[in-house]
Amino acid sequence: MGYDVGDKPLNVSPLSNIDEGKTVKIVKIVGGRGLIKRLYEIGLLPGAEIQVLRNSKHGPVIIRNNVSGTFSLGFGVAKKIMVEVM
Amino acid sequence: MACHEASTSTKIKVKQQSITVGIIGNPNVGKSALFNKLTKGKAWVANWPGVTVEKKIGKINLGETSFEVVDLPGIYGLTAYSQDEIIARKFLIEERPEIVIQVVNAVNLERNLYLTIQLLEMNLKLIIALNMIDLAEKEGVEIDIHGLINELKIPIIPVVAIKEVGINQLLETMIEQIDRPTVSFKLDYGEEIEGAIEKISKIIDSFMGKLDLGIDSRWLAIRLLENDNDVVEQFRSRGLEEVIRESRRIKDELEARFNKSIEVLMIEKRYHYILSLSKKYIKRKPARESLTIFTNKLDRVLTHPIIGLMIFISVLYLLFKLSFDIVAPLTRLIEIFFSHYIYNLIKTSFLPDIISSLLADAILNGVGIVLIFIPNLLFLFLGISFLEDTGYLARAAFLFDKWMNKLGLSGRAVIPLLIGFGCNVPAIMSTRTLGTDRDRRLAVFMIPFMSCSARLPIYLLFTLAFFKENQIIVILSMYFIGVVIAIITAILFNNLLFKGQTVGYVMDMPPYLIPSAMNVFIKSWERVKSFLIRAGTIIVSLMVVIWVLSITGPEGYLGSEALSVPELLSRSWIASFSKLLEPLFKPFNWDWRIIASLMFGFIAKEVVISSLAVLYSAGEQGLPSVLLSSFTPLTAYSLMAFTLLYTPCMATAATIKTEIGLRYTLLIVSYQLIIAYTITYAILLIGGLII
Repeated sequence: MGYDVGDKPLNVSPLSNIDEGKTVKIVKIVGGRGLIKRLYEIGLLPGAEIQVLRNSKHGPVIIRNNVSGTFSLGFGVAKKIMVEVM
Repeated sequence: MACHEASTSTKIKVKQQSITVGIIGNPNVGKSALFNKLTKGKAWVANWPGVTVEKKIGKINLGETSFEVVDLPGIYGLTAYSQDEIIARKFLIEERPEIVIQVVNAVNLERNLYLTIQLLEMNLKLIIALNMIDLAEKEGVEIDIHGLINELKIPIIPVVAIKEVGINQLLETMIEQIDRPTVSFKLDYGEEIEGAIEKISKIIDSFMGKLDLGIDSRWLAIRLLENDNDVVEQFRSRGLEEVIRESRRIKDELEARFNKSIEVLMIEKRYHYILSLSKKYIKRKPARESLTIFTNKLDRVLTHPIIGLMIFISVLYLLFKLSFDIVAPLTRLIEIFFSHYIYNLIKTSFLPDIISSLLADAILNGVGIVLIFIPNLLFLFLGISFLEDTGYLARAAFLFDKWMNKLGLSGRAVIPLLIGFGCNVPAIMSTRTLGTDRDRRLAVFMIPFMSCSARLPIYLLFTLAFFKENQIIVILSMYFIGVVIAIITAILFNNLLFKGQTVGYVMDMPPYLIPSAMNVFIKSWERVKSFLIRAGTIIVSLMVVIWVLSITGPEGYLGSEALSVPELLSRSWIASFSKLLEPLFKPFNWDWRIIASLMFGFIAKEVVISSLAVLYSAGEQGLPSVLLSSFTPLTAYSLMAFTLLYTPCMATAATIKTEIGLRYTLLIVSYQLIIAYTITYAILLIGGLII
C-alpha cells in the first residue's frame, strides 16, 4: 500500500491490458487535469497498488484496493492509467 | 453582572435561530440513511437556487436548539464535475453551514479522509460520523478513534446509521459544538508550496476590503494554486484580475521548478498525510468472514459478461412484471374511482354546466391522469431504490458500459433507458443518477423514443384492424423504430449539441448490502411526491388549457357537450388549428380529425384512440371497423409510427421540464415533431413503392 513515486518502472503498460486477478502498481496517469484530479481524489495515484478484478480488455475494468475500495473504470479511463505489474 | 446578563440573552437569541448543519460525504457512505435517522424521516424537499436539483432539508428540535439539517450530494473532493457536486461545493463555500457532519465509511477510511482534509482546510466546524463501524470490524479494520481525535482535534462519532447506533451521541455532539471555536487546521505542503501560499495570501489580504467571502486567505490561496475555477471566478467578478494574474505567475514559476503540476503535487501531499495517519491509527487484519470476500464472490457471477447479462435481464423482467402487471388492478381502481364515480358525481350535481365540466372534464381528468401514475411509479421506484441500495445497479452499469459508450453515454444510462419501455416519466426522473449534465440531457433526449406501455393500446387497436396476421411483427417493428431513432438521436446530439464534454466513467462499486426498508421507502416516496407536486401542477394546468380550446372556438363558447359531440367539436379551436394544419399533412392524406386526435394525444398517448372514436362518431368498440373503411394499412402503419415518435406525452413533457428545464423541453418536442414527420414521410414513400 506504499505510495513510492520516483523509481524507474521496468514493465509498464496500460491498465486496460492487464489480466484479471493481477495486482499492479500505478506508475502514471496520462490524462487531462480533470481526470487526474478525479482519480487522485479517490486514491488512485502513482504508487497505489491495485488488484484487477474484472477486465475484458475491450470494455470497463473493476479494480480494488484498501484505500479506495472497489471501483469500475471505463475503458477510456483504464487506457490512461499506466501500471507496472508486480 | 449586567454585562453577563446581556451575553446570556444574546445567547438565547442565537439558540432560538436554527443552526444550519450540512451532511456531506463520499457517495455510498450512508449519508441519506444518517439524514433519515437524524430527521426521523420528516424532511421536506426544496430546490437549490437556480437549478432543478432537489434539496432535502429536515428540522431537529433539541430543547431550545433547533437544527436545520441539509442533505448534500455525495462528493469525493472539492473539485466538482457534475451539477450535484457543484451544488454541494457551493453550499459549503457560500452558505458556510455552522456545523458540517461528514459521513465517513469506516471500511475504506483513507479515501474518505481526503475530503476530511479539504473540509478542515476550509475552517468548517466539522464532526465526523464514522459510519459502518460494524462492517469495518468484520473486515478486520481496526481504527484507533481516540488517536485520530487527538490528531485532527475534531469529534469523531462511531455510528451505524442503518441500525440507529450512535445517533444520540451525534446529536449531543452537535449541541456541544455550537459554542466551541472552529479548530484551525494547517497541512504542511512543504517549503516551496508553503512559500507560494504565503505570497498569494499576502496579495489577497491586501485586497481583503473588496473580498467579502468570509473565508480566510490561506484557503483562497490554496484554491488559486489548485486552479479552482469557481474561486478564480469569484476574484474575477470582484475585479481582482491582479490577484489571479499574480497567483498564476507564482504557480507557473513553481511548476517550472518542480517540472510537475502543482495541483497534482498538492493532492499527493494530502495523501502522504493520510497515509501517515493510516499507518498510525488504522490496522488491517485478514478477515475471516468478510463482506469484501462475499462481494467479490458474488461479483464473479453478477459482472460476468454472459451470466451477468442473463441475470440482469431476468431482474429487469421481474421489475417490470411487478410494477406494471401486479399494480394494474390498483391503477384500474383509481381510474374507475375518478373517471366514473367522482366524475358522475360532479356531472350529476346541481352546478352550472360549465363549472361541472371544468371540474370534471378538465381538473378531475388531469388529477386522474396524475394519480393513475402513482402505483406504477411507486412500485418501479421501490424496485429501483432497492436495487440501488443493494449495490446491484452499479454492476448493471458496468455490464453495459461498453455498449453505452458507443452512444456517448456511460453504463449508468442503461437503467433509465430501459425503464423508458415501461413509462417515460420514471425513466426521465432516474436520469438524476447519471454523472454529468451532459449525460443526463443526452439520455433524456433518447428516452421519449422508448415505446412506453401507454403506446401499446394504439398498436393493438391498429394491428387488430389492419395487420391481424402479422400483429406481433408489426408491433415489434414499432419498438424497433423507436430504438433505432433513439440511437440516431444519441449519435446526432453527441456530435452536435453535447460535444466533447465526456468525463471518463469512474464509478464506486459499493459492497452488497441488504437495504434498509425505511431508506428504500423514503427515497421512492420522495420521487413519487416530486412527480405529484411538480409535474402534477403542470399536467392539471395543461388539461385546463386543452379543455378551454375544446369547448370554445372561433365563434365563441360551444358548450361542454363539444367534448362528446363531433359536430360541436369540429367547430372548436383544436379543430380549427387542425384544419389549418391540414395542408402540412396533405402528403400523408390525413384529414383534420386525425390531426386533432393527435393533438389530444398530447394528454396521454392512449387518448388518440378515444379521440378518434369521438371524431369518427364511432364507439371505441366500433372504431376498428370505421377505421378499416377510411384508412389503408399503410396510413394506419404511418399513423402508428407518428404516434410513437411525435411528442412526449404531457406527463413526460412536464417531467422533462422539471428535470432539465423549459428550453430543452421545447427543443425535444420540436425535434420529435420533425423526426416523426420525416419518418412518417419516409414510411409512406417506401411503402408506396413496395405496395
